[in-house]
Amino acid sequence: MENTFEQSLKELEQVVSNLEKGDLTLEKAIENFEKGINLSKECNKKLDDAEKKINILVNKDGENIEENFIPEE
Amino acid sequence: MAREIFKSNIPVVSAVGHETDFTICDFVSDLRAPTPSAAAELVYPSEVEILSKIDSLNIRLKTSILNIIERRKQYLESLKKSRLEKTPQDLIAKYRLIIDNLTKNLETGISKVLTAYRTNYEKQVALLDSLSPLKTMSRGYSIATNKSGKVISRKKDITIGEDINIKVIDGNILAKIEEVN
Repeated sequence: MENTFEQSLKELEQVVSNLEKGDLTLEKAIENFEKGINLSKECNKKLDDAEKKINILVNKDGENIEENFIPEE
Repeated sequence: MAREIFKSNIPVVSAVGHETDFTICDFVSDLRAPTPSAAAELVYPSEVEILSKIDSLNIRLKTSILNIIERRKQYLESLKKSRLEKTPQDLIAKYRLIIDNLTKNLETGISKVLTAYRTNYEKQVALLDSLSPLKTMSRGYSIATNKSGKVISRKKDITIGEDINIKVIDGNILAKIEEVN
């Protein structure tokens, strides 16, 4: 099951904290960094999807039209 | 009766007599009509007037109801603009900021880690370099070995007259032991 936005954000915070502590091996540090970058992209994408959904739900030419929003895979 | 008519708060139209006759009633009433039919005509507004009045009332009714609806519509719009739409948008903006900061920290963090490891590595390399025999040799030291390649480090390692090899930084020197003291 895919993570919620909050879960991804929490993981990102954890990864940054790990890296900042400074006691990781080189391999682990790079691993954490990669994970962090991916989480950051994931979170931004979730925010983009949320924004799109809001824009679809909001007035279009004075009428409220709700369409089904399918997130791009 | 005349006095009562005069006192009356209700408007009175007098239509008692015939056309040309005048009664006391006629003088104390609010309006005098020559005949009862005429009275009815005088009192009652014309059809055109009535229809016109209905029309204008219709228009006022329509305008009022449209105004009420318009005000409700505007209220709804302002509700949407204020909390409904703004809240998620504010939230999204806030989260974007948080993510940007975290990403910056991520990059700073890995950069620090790499710098630390590189510094340590360079330190080790420098140490290794300084301990290298070649470094020592470039400072003027040489390595003496006997015919079998064993390094000469003690007096007992050689005998007088023996051929030895002295390795210096830029080559080898063949020598013969003359004296030991």
